[in-house]
Amino acid sequence: MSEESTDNVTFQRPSSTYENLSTRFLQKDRNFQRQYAHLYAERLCSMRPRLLETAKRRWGESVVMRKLYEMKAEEKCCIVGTLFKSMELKPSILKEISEDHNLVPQPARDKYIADSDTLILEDELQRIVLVGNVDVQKAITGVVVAVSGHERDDGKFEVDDFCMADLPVQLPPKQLDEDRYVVLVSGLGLGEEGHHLMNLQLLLDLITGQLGSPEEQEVYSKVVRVIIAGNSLSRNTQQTDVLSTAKYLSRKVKAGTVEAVKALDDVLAQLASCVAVDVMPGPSDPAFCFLPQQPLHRCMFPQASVYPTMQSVTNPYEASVDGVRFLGSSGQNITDIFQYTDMEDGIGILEATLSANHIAPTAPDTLACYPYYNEDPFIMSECPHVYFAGNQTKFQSRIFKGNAGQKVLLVTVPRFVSSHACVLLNLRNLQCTPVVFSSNIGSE
Amino acid sequence: MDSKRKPPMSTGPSAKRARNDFEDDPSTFEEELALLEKVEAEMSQASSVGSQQSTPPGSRGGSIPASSKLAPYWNPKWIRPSLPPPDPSKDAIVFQQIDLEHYIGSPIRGMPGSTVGPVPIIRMFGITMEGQSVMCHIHGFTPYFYVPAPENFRPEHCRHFKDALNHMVINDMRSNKDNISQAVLAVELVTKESIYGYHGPNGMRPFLKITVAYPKLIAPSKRLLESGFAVPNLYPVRGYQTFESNIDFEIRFMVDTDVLGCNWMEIPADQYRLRSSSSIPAPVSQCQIELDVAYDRFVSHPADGEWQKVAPFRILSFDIECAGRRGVFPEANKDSVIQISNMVIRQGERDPFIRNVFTLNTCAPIVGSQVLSFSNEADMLKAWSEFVNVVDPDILTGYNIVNFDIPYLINRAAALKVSTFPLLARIKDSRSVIKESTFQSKQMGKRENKVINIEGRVQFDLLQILQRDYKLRSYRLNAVSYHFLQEQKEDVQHSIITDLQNGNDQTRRRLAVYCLKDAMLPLRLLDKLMCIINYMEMARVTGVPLPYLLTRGQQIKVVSQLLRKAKEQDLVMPAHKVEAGEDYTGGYVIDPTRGYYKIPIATLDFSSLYPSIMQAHNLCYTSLLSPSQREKMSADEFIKTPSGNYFVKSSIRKGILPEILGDLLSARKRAKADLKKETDPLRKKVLDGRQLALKISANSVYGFTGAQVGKLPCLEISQSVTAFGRQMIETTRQLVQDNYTIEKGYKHNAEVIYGDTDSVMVKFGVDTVAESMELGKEAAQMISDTFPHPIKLEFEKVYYPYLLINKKRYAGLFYSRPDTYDKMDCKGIETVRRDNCPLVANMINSCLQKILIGRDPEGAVDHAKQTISDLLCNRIDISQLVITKELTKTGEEYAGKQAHVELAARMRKRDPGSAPALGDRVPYVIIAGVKGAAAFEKSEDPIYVLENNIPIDTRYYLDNQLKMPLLRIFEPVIGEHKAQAVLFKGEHTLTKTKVTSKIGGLMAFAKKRSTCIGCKTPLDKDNSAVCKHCKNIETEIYQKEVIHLNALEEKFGRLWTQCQRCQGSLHEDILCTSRDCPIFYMRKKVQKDLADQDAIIKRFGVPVW
Repeated sequence: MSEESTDNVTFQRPSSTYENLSTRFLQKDRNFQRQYAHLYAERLCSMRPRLLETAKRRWGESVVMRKLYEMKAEEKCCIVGTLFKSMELKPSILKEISEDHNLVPQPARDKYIADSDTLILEDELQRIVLVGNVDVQKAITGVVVAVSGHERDDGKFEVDDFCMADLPVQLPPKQLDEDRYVVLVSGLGLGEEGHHLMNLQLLLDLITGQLGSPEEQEVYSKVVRVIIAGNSLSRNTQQTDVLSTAKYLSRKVKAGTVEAVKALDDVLAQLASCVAVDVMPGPSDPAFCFLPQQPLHRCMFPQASVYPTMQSVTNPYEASVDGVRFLGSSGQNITDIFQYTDMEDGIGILEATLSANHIAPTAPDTLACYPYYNEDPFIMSECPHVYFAGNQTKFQSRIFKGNAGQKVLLVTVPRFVSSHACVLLNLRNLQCTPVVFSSNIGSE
Repeated sequence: MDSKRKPPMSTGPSAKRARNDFEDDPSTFEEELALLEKVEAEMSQASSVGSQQSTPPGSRGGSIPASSKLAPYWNPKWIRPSLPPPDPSKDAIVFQQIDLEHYIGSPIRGMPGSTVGPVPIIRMFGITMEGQSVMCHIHGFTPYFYVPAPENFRPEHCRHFKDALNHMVINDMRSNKDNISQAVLAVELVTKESIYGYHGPNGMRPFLKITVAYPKLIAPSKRLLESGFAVPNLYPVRGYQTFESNIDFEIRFMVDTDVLGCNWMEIPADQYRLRSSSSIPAPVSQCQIELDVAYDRFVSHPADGEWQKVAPFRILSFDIECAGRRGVFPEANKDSVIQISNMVIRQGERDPFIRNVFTLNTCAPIVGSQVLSFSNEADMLKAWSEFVNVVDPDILTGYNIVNFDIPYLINRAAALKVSTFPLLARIKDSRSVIKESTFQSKQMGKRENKVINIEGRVQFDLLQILQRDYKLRSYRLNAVSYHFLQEQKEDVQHSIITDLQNGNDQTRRRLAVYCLKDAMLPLRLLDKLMCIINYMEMARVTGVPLPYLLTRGQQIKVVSQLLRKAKEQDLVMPAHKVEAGEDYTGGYVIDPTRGYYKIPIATLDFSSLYPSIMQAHNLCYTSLLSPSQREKMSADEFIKTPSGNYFVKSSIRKGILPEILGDLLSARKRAKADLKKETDPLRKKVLDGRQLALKISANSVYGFTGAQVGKLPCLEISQSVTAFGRQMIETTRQLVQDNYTIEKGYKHNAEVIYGDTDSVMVKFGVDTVAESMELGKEAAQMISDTFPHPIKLEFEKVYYPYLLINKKRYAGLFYSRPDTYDKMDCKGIETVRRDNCPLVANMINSCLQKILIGRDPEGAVDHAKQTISDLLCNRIDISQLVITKELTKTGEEYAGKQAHVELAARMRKRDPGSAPALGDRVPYVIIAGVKGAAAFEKSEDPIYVLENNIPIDTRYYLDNQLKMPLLRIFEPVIGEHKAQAVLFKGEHTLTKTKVTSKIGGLMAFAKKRSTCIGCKTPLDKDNSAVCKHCKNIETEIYQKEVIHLNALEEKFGRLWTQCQRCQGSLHEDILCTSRDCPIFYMRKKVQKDLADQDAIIKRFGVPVW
């Protein structure tokens, strides 16, 4: 299966070790009678010891730890709590309902930030407004932080310094003696109107070894795994008004995704015929909305599901490939934070979530997520080597170094449908390069 | 706790204050409280004039004994600013009065009036511009009334008349505990004229002015005189008609001394006696300045110019929480008061300067407000009562305080034997007691209210104001604040309140924050709706005391104005016997030409129609001609009205009603002109309130003459007014249709398609708004010229398009300028009716929008069909189907069976804990029941319906709720027969979702068999998703279902996080059970729908492979 031949040269696809580490993202029995408070409570509770440790290291052993209700005026102390950003422009379902009753509609916007936004720190019982040395517009709702400072007369907390928990431990990656590659791609955007599949076909042909110079072929023969990080289908295929269209009108209508899913099945079958493929669901795929998104259902892929190399996985997704620990998402966690902070850069936001030790801090506030009870699977308990997010505007990568010598490669994977690019990542040295496909036919 | 209350240190630059407006995220309430504290800190630094007393000052205003439980919490902000006492020889006292009333006291030497007791004394409360509280005892004013003098009455008969009447009155008394010898103080011969009817050029007649000792003696004197009375040796037994014997003493006083409601009073230096602890009599009130003055020694300033200002009244808004038992409405003799929150604001300022909460048991600190914790409930109540006296508010407000909070506190204090609690009034020894009263008016219907005496403090209950002035679907504070402020408040169930109270200081803190918010919201609503300003202006315009506006009907306002005017002309008002009779008829309606008009329709309005008719034709009591009088007059001196009544012309005698109306309307013009010039926002509010009050007052005059149960009805006037109105509308129609014709050079023949009371709708036939406006203005001018002054036909607006459904039912886009429309205007259509479910209003509203704004009748039809389909498919949010009624009586007391009463009884059987109690509003939906079951049997609790998946009676909603309103708006658009067919038959009515209830009937025996998700054929195996025929399209079926799940998940996330934001906490469960919140049922329903959809998805098997 791994044998491809062109011009008499044969390249052998190397085998690799693989372990899926995403079990915690899989759900069996789902219960919807719960509220979100438990998730926040669990998050705060499990992050607190880690933050206390960091706080002590940073501000000294003698730092006074307080809960909000124990605070004394003017006493310098340290508080651990969850951040909440109160934002006037935050879309509110209440306001939308009022719109039905003829109030002014909320304008759609890229970002919902405003000067009036305030930052609030909340512990188990109370909340307090943060001011001082803290950038409101960089702060992310749902992140657990430690702040040091004091309560002012006006009842606000003057922040002198704040910190997030240290990264968890990182196992050293296995030393490989040869190049092996993982391809990261996202946003295939099948079903996009007016879009043709030429570039995608180029990608497939390259990976499957049907195209390219012998040098290229040699490189691509060492691709051991392709990770498709969400949005394989175009947003256009989604019907946004499922809940509002009358049933008598929608009964006989097929889902808009049907044709695109067929096309995706073709794509996956081609890939899986010669390399291991992981498909993550994304916000525009026919999948659950709640994070963690559950794997795309096999019944949609009659062709691809035949191959044992084909794997449908969760989003977020964590796995170890040849000892390199990957953790990543299809990008909605990053896009969501983009809308509620002044951070412009996908990779900056990605880094911020890494330092927060949390994949999706804005869930559940502005990002739909499952109402977990007594667990928060988004907390990073082991430090990955590669941390990626799909469906970003451009490719970027950088190395993040942790306090205990952790080195994490951050990668933003661009949307394929607009960038025609995927990311080639070398497992041996964690170098990554974008590969751009451009067919002239495409631009006409 | 005390560490929180430290005086502010002057450190750091003061940050600029962020404007926390009403529209803010509701969760910021706590932050907002904190912000208020900061602002104050800055302010007090800016003006630290050494007034930072930290101990209670001397004897006046704010003293509490050191032993008081309130003492540890003493806050210098509580007391009023203290100024050196005025020097009566030099200082005039100037204050705005807010309330006045009379009491019976002993005469004081040096004051006019009777020198032997008991005498009526007026006490007047007010505030100076500096914020000092004032109380005046006004002496020497005595009650009186008139009777026509018998023939040949000579001045020397007065004494005999007086003695005879006095004798009779004294004998009539059942007991004479004051040992009064002089009930009738004086009988004087005066010259007056009855207000009722024209009596020729020399209408003045001799009258006897009978003065009695105190107001209660008027009624027996009147009765005795009317039933027959003789003056020995002079006049045999005869009945006397009395005049002005039915006037409240306070109104009499105000009219005679030119005092208006809430106007400014000036008591010049040297004209008053100050009361002090050493004076006799000693002060009886808590006021800072208390004085005695004669009734003729003060100056009452009319509310003009400088005197329009408003004093810095202290307004206390408060709210209580009670620890109820499960399922029982709190009862004062059993359930304790656990928290009382207070907010005090000075009128004209933006934010309350005192914010605190009294709590039973400990409570964690709340930034921005003081927490006063008490371990004993009696101590807390006592301390609160002391707090009220220290703060000395002029106005008490809150939500439903008159019928709930205050009575509850008083009853609770009585149950706990806190004897000093009811000393809430400004009068030191006055105990507040609760009385019941029934109040009935045409406008409000019958209401039972509690009346509590708290002298000197006006009870300005926001709920009562809203019920008077606004028609709302729900009057719960939550619904009201959502309606006016777009702000939600958490609604916590009684049972949870008790749980929170029984928790720890943190849970009690949570409760305290709700409680504080409940005290804050009324203040914001008062401000937003400008209630206080508007009511004060109404009091000034009509001249009645402020509290009358809340406790009395419309008539008293007209009486007050009438008396003031009558006094100037020596006219007196007969005391009319109240008798039931027919009410005045409504306005005239031109039969509507129903239809959907796609061209502009101009509207011509008579401005202030009825008032201007009365002015134009001199219609008044004083100009009414009796047939006998008419015979003596020449034909050019009077007119005959279209209803066949006769009135003299104004050249003969100018009526006083037209004069009152003229004053009101010209004052309104002035106010409107000033309003345009004014820039100061507070003064703008005052002026706007004023012009509104003037308009309402002018319009109520006509109603007064027509109200048979009123003080002085005069059908001749009211029927003449309506007859003139009718004639004018007819004339207008004629003139329009005669003048705007093709013959006369216009493009089209104009047609009046509808007219009602004071307006006519004209179809000029032109296509543009601009042309229509042009013609409208021209026509209005032309027609106005044919009517006598001041009747004026005005062109006001154009409707385009216009949907005329029926009499008093229409809708249209309202244009006052040719380029853009101002709004969608709907009259008499089910957009606001409260007895329907919200679905009706919302649906009609969106259909009208589509028809009128979108000009898309097809779209409107589709929308209606979609909604009907959604209804049949169980996709309508249940909150849209909820009908709400108040449970006012128990089942036995209702004559017929009522849906909500039956439901309440059923719910009590299910769970006595959560069942609605008397006084609660019961929300219900109609569920599908046995065929032929009556509607009242099919009512059900919406939550129960959601939880048990009970099917809704969609038929009921379609036929009884949606059908008529829909047909009404669509018939004119798509045709009478077509509407029925298009909307209620057809494809969209065929797809239905069968909901199977979890409970009841046969469900216990039924075995559920799964069906194919694709084609609904029963499956043999239970655990598969689709049948073998659908297997090849399983992917399609799956995709459809998973997309549905996706949408539900997103909704779930948004709804539940919204509630977290609203409650202002992430780590605590949402407790709110506000059924008025638009997402309350949605949030519940989405849980259920999601679970159902998840079960469907599960049947496709585990996704991974």
